[in-house]
Amino acid sequence: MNISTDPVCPPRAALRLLNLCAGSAAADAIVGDLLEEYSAASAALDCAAARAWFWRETLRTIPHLLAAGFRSAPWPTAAALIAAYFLRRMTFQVPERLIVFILDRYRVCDAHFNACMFWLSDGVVMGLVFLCALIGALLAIASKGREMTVAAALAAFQLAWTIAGLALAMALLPRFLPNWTVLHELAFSIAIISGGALVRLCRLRRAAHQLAPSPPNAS
Amino acid sequence: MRREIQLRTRREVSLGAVYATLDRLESKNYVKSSLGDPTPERGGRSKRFFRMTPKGVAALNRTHTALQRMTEGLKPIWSRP
Repeated sequence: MNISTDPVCPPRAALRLLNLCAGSAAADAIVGDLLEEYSAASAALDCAAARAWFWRETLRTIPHLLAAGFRSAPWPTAAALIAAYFLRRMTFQVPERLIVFILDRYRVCDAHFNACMFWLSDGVVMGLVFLCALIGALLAIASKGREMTVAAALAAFQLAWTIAGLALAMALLPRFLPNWTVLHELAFSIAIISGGALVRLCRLRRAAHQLAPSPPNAS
Repeated sequence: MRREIQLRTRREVSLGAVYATLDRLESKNYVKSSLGDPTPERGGRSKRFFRMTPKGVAALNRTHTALQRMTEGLKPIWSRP
Protein backbone atom coordinates (compact mmCIF):
# COMPACT_ATOMS: atom_id res chain seq x y z
CA MET A 1 0.00 0.00 0.00
CA ASN A 2 1.35 3.37 -0.88
CA ILE A 3 -0.50 6.00 1.07
CA SER A 4 1.00 9.46 1.02
CA THR A 5 1.12 11.74 4.01
CA ASP A 6 -0.61 14.77 2.48
CA PRO A 7 -4.14 15.67 3.71
CA VAL A 8 -6.09 14.02 0.87
CA CYS A 9 -3.88 10.88 0.39
CA PRO A 10 -4.76 9.90 -3.20
CA PRO A 11 -2.86 7.02 -4.87
CA ARG A 12 0.69 8.30 -5.30
CA ALA A 13 1.31 6.76 -8.71
CA ALA A 14 -1.88 8.31 -10.12
CA LEU A 15 -0.98 11.68 -8.66
CA ARG A 16 2.51 11.43 -10.17
CA LEU A 17 1.00 10.65 -13.56
CA LEU A 18 -1.30 13.66 -13.26
CA ASN A 19 1.58 15.91 -12.23
CA LEU A 20 3.61 14.70 -15.19
CA CYS A 21 0.85 15.52 -17.65
CA ALA A 22 -0.40 18.78 -16.11
CA GLY A 23 1.83 21.43 -17.58
CA SER A 24 0.06 24.76 -17.38
CA ALA A 25 -1.65 26.53 -14.45
CA ALA A 26 -4.99 25.68 -16.07
CA ALA A 27 -4.10 21.97 -16.10
CA ASP A 28 -2.96 22.30 -12.49
CA ALA A 29 -6.47 23.50 -11.63
CA ILE A 30 -7.90 20.27 -13.09
CA VAL A 31 -5.63 18.23 -10.80
CA GLY A 32 -6.73 20.43 -7.88
CA ASP A 33 -10.40 19.77 -8.72
CA LEU A 34 -9.75 16.03 -8.83
CA LEU A 35 -8.03 16.15 -5.42
CA GLU A 36 -10.90 18.16 -3.96
CA GLU A 37 -13.44 15.68 -5.33
CA TYR A 38 -11.29 12.83 -4.04
CA SER A 39 -11.37 14.21 -0.50
CA ALA A 40 -15.20 14.30 -0.76
CA ALA A 41 -15.29 10.80 -2.31
CA SER A 42 -13.00 9.33 0.36
CA ALA A 43 -15.39 10.64 3.03
CA ALA A 44 -18.36 9.01 1.30
CA LEU A 45 -16.78 5.77 0.00
CA ASP A 46 -14.45 3.20 1.54
CA CYS A 47 -10.72 3.58 0.89
CA ALA A 48 -10.45 1.02 -1.95
CA ALA A 49 -13.47 2.44 -3.78
CA ALA A 50 -12.18 6.01 -3.41
CA ARG A 51 -8.77 4.99 -4.75
CA ALA A 52 -10.38 3.14 -7.67
CA TRP A 53 -12.45 6.26 -8.38
CA PHE A 54 -9.31 8.39 -8.38
CA TRP A 55 -7.52 6.03 -10.77
CA ARG A 56 -10.51 5.97 -13.12
CA GLU A 57 -10.76 9.74 -13.14
CA THR A 58 -6.98 10.06 -13.63
CA LEU A 59 -7.03 7.85 -16.70
CA ARG A 60 -10.02 9.75 -18.10
CA THR A 61 -8.40 13.12 -17.43
CA ILE A 62 -4.91 12.46 -18.84
CA PRO A 63 -5.92 12.65 -22.55
CA HIS A 64 -7.58 16.00 -21.84
CA LEU A 65 -4.49 17.29 -20.02
CA LEU A 66 -2.35 16.31 -23.01
CA ALA A 67 -4.80 17.96 -25.39
CA ALA A 68 -4.84 21.08 -23.19
CA GLY A 69 -1.06 21.25 -23.60
CA PHE A 70 -1.49 21.21 -27.38
CA ARG A 71 -4.27 23.83 -27.30
CA SER A 72 -2.16 26.18 -25.17
CA ALA A 73 0.38 26.60 -28.01
CA PRO A 74 -0.67 24.68 -31.13
CA TRP A 75 1.84 26.07 -33.64
CA PRO A 76 5.03 25.80 -31.55
CA THR A 77 3.94 22.29 -30.50
CA ALA A 78 3.32 21.22 -34.10
CA ALA A 79 6.66 22.75 -35.22
CA ALA A 80 8.54 20.93 -32.43
CA LEU A 81 6.81 17.66 -33.35
CA ILE A 82 7.69 17.97 -37.05
CA ALA A 83 11.31 18.86 -36.20
CA ALA A 84 11.57 15.89 -33.81
CA TYR A 85 10.07 13.55 -36.39
CA PHE A 86 12.63 14.56 -39.02
CA LEU A 87 15.44 14.43 -36.46
CA ARG A 88 14.38 10.86 -35.68
CA ARG A 89 14.34 9.99 -39.41
CA MET A 90 17.73 11.59 -40.05
CA THR A 91 19.49 9.99 -37.09
CA PHE A 92 17.90 6.57 -37.45
CA GLN A 93 21.08 4.96 -38.81
CA VAL A 94 23.47 6.67 -36.40
CA PRO A 95 23.53 3.90 -33.73
CA GLU A 96 24.16 1.19 -36.32
CA ARG A 97 26.93 3.17 -38.02
CA LEU A 98 28.51 3.99 -34.69
CA ILE A 99 28.46 0.34 -33.56
CA VAL A 100 29.88 -0.87 -36.89
CA PHE A 101 32.59 1.79 -36.69
CA ILE A 102 33.61 0.76 -33.15
CA LEU A 103 33.53 -2.97 -33.98
CA ASP A 104 35.71 -2.31 -37.05
CA ARG A 105 38.06 0.02 -35.22
CA TYR A 106 38.81 -2.46 -32.42
CA ARG A 107 38.44 -5.58 -34.62
CA VAL A 108 35.91 -7.07 -32.19
CA CYS A 109 34.43 -9.44 -34.78
CA ASP A 110 37.79 -11.19 -35.34
CA ALA A 111 38.32 -11.96 -31.65
CA HIS A 112 34.78 -12.19 -30.24
CA PHE A 113 32.32 -13.30 -32.87
CA ASN A 114 29.37 -13.79 -30.49
CA ALA A 115 29.83 -10.36 -28.93
CA CYS A 116 30.06 -8.89 -32.42
CA MET A 117 26.75 -10.51 -33.41
CA PHE A 118 25.12 -9.30 -30.20
CA TRP A 119 26.14 -5.70 -30.83
CA LEU A 120 25.09 -5.84 -34.48
CA SER A 121 21.59 -7.10 -33.62
CA ASP A 122 20.47 -6.30 -30.06
CA GLY A 123 23.08 -3.55 -29.65
CA VAL A 124 21.62 -1.62 -32.58
CA VAL A 125 18.12 -1.91 -31.09
CA MET A 126 19.40 -0.72 -27.69
CA GLY A 127 21.15 2.18 -29.41
CA LEU A 128 17.92 3.12 -31.14
CA VAL A 129 16.01 2.97 -27.84
CA PHE A 130 18.60 5.30 -26.30
CA LEU A 131 18.41 7.61 -29.33
CA CYS A 132 14.61 7.76 -29.06
CA ALA A 133 14.84 8.62 -25.35
CA LEU A 134 17.30 11.38 -26.26
CA ILE A 135 14.98 12.75 -28.96
CA GLY A 136 12.05 12.63 -26.49
CA ALA A 137 14.15 14.56 -23.96
CA LEU A 138 15.26 17.15 -26.56
CA LEU A 139 11.69 17.60 -27.70
CA ALA A 140 10.56 18.09 -24.09
CA ILE A 141 13.36 20.59 -23.45
CA ALA A 142 12.18 22.60 -26.46
CA SER A 143 8.54 22.51 -25.30
CA LYS A 144 8.50 23.80 -21.74
CA GLY A 145 5.19 23.16 -19.97
CA ARG A 146 4.04 20.75 -22.69
CA GLU A 147 6.69 18.05 -22.26
CA MET A 148 4.34 15.08 -22.02
CA THR A 149 2.02 16.40 -24.74
CA VAL A 150 4.80 16.50 -27.33
CA ALA A 151 6.46 13.28 -26.23
CA ALA A 152 3.18 11.34 -26.20
CA ALA A 153 2.13 12.84 -29.55
CA LEU A 154 5.41 11.88 -31.25
CA ALA A 155 5.31 8.38 -29.76
CA ALA A 156 1.67 7.87 -30.79
CA PHE A 157 2.31 9.19 -34.31
CA GLN A 158 5.33 6.95 -34.76
CA LEU A 159 3.49 3.88 -33.54
CA ALA A 160 0.42 4.65 -35.64
CA TRP A 161 2.63 5.16 -38.73
CA THR A 162 4.32 1.77 -38.18
CA ILE A 163 1.04 -0.06 -37.62
CA ALA A 164 -0.46 1.56 -40.73
CA GLY A 165 2.61 0.56 -42.75
CA LEU A 166 2.43 -3.02 -41.50
CA ALA A 167 -1.30 -3.22 -42.20
CA LEU A 168 -0.70 -1.96 -45.74
CA ALA A 169 2.14 -4.44 -46.27
CA MET A 170 -0.04 -7.30 -45.01
CA ALA A 171 -2.86 -6.23 -47.31
CA LEU A 172 -0.67 -5.85 -50.41
CA LEU A 173 1.82 -8.69 -49.88
CA PRO A 174 0.04 -11.99 -49.18
CA ARG A 175 3.17 -13.69 -47.80
CA PHE A 176 4.16 -10.82 -45.53
CA LEU A 177 4.15 -11.64 -41.82
CA PRO A 178 4.61 -8.99 -39.11
CA ASN A 179 8.00 -9.43 -37.44
CA TRP A 180 9.64 -7.81 -34.43
CA THR A 181 9.16 -4.34 -35.95
CA VAL A 182 5.99 -3.63 -33.96
CA LEU A 183 7.64 -4.57 -30.67
CA HIS A 184 10.72 -2.50 -31.53
CA GLU A 185 8.56 0.49 -32.45
CA LEU A 186 6.62 0.05 -29.21
CA ALA A 187 9.91 0.14 -27.30
CA PHE A 188 11.00 3.25 -29.26
CA SER A 189 7.67 4.96 -28.44
CA ILE A 190 8.02 4.12 -24.74
CA ALA A 191 11.59 5.47 -24.87
CA ILE A 192 10.38 8.78 -26.37
CA ILE A 193 7.75 9.13 -23.62
CA SER A 194 10.35 8.21 -20.97
CA GLY A 195 12.73 10.89 -22.29
CA GLY A 196 9.97 13.49 -22.10
CA ALA A 197 8.92 12.31 -18.63
CA LEU A 198 12.50 12.56 -17.37
CA VAL A 199 12.76 16.20 -18.47
CA ARG A 200 9.35 16.96 -16.96
CA LEU A 201 10.36 15.31 -13.65
CA CYS A 202 13.60 17.33 -13.55
CA ARG A 203 11.66 20.55 -14.12
CA LEU A 204 9.08 19.64 -11.46
CA ARG A 205 11.86 18.91 -8.94
CA ARG A 206 13.64 22.15 -9.76
CA ALA A 207 10.38 24.11 -9.38
CA ALA A 208 9.65 22.40 -6.04
CA HIS A 209 13.21 23.13 -4.89
CA GLN A 210 12.85 26.81 -5.79
CA LEU A 211 9.50 27.05 -3.96
CA ALA A 212 10.77 25.30 -0.81
CA PRO A 213 11.63 27.75 2.03
CA SER A 214 15.36 28.12 2.62
CA PRO A 215 16.63 26.74 6.00
CA PRO A 216 17.14 29.32 8.77
CA ASN A 217 20.67 30.63 9.19
CA ALA A 218 22.56 28.77 11.96
CA SER A 219 24.35 31.90 13.16
CA MET B 1 -20.08 22.35 -12.29
CA ARG B 2 -19.35 18.76 -13.25
CA ARG B 3 -21.63 17.43 -10.49
CA GLU B 4 -24.42 19.70 -11.68
CA ILE B 5 -24.04 18.49 -15.29
CA GLN B 6 -24.07 14.86 -14.12
CA LEU B 7 -27.17 15.46 -12.01
CA ARG B 8 -29.06 17.18 -14.79
CA THR B 9 -28.05 14.98 -17.72
CA ARG B 10 -27.71 11.73 -15.69
CA ARG B 11 -24.49 11.00 -17.55
CA GLU B 12 -20.87 10.55 -16.49
CA VAL B 13 -18.82 13.56 -17.55
CA SER B 14 -15.05 13.67 -17.18
CA LEU B 15 -13.42 16.70 -15.64
CA GLY B 16 -11.17 17.05 -18.65
CA ALA B 17 -14.17 17.23 -20.98
CA VAL B 18 -15.70 20.02 -18.86
CA TYR B 19 -12.45 21.98 -18.92
CA ALA B 20 -11.97 21.41 -22.67
CA THR B 21 -15.41 22.95 -23.28
CA LEU B 22 -14.71 25.83 -20.90
CA ASP B 23 -11.36 26.47 -22.60
CA ARG B 24 -13.08 26.67 -25.98
CA LEU B 25 -15.69 29.06 -24.54
CA GLU B 26 -12.91 31.17 -23.06
CA SER B 27 -11.05 31.30 -26.39
CA LYS B 28 -14.26 32.71 -27.93
CA ASN B 29 -14.55 35.25 -25.08
CA TYR B 30 -17.82 33.76 -23.82
CA VAL B 31 -16.38 33.16 -20.35
CA LYS B 32 -13.44 34.52 -18.40
CA SER B 33 -11.42 32.58 -15.86
CA SER B 34 -9.30 33.55 -12.89
CA LEU B 35 -7.27 31.54 -10.40
CA GLY B 36 -8.16 31.55 -6.69
CA ASP B 37 -5.99 30.84 -3.68
CA PRO B 38 -4.43 27.39 -3.22
CA THR B 39 -5.99 25.20 -0.49
CA PRO B 40 -4.69 22.07 1.33
CA GLU B 41 -7.58 19.83 0.19
CA ARG B 42 -6.59 20.70 -3.38
CA GLY B 43 -3.00 19.63 -2.72
CA GLY B 44 -1.87 23.27 -2.67
CA ARG B 45 -3.34 23.98 -6.10
CA SER B 46 -5.40 26.97 -7.08
CA LYS B 47 -9.06 26.80 -8.02
CA ARG B 48 -10.07 28.17 -11.42
CA PHE B 49 -13.21 30.32 -11.32
CA PHE B 50 -15.28 31.01 -14.44
CA ARG B 51 -17.54 33.98 -15.09
CA MET B 52 -19.74 34.61 -18.11
CA THR B 53 -19.00 37.68 -20.20
CA PRO B 54 -21.78 39.88 -21.71
CA LYS B 55 -20.88 38.33 -25.09
CA GLY B 56 -21.36 34.86 -23.54
CA VAL B 57 -24.73 35.81 -22.03
CA ALA B 58 -25.91 37.14 -25.42
CA ALA B 59 -24.73 33.94 -27.18
CA LEU B 60 -26.47 31.78 -24.55
CA ASN B 61 -29.72 33.72 -25.00
CA ARG B 62 -29.51 33.30 -28.77
CA THR B 63 -28.82 29.57 -28.53
CA HIS B 64 -31.54 28.99 -25.95
CA THR B 65 -34.10 30.87 -28.05
CA ALA B 66 -33.07 28.93 -31.17
CA LEU B 67 -33.38 25.60 -29.32
CA GLN B 68 -36.82 26.55 -27.98
CA ARG B 69 -37.97 27.49 -31.49
CA MET B 70 -36.64 24.24 -32.93
CA THR B 71 -38.44 22.08 -30.38
CA GLU B 72 -41.66 24.11 -30.26
CA GLY B 73 -44.66 21.92 -30.94
CA LEU B 74 -42.61 18.73 -31.14
CA LYS B 75 -43.39 17.30 -27.70
CA PRO B 76 -46.84 15.94 -28.68
CA ILE B 77 -45.13 14.03 -31.53
CA TRP B 78 -42.37 12.34 -29.53
CA SER B 79 -44.57 11.68 -26.50
CA ARG B 80 -47.15 9.93 -28.71
CA PRO B 81 -47.20 6.14 -27.96
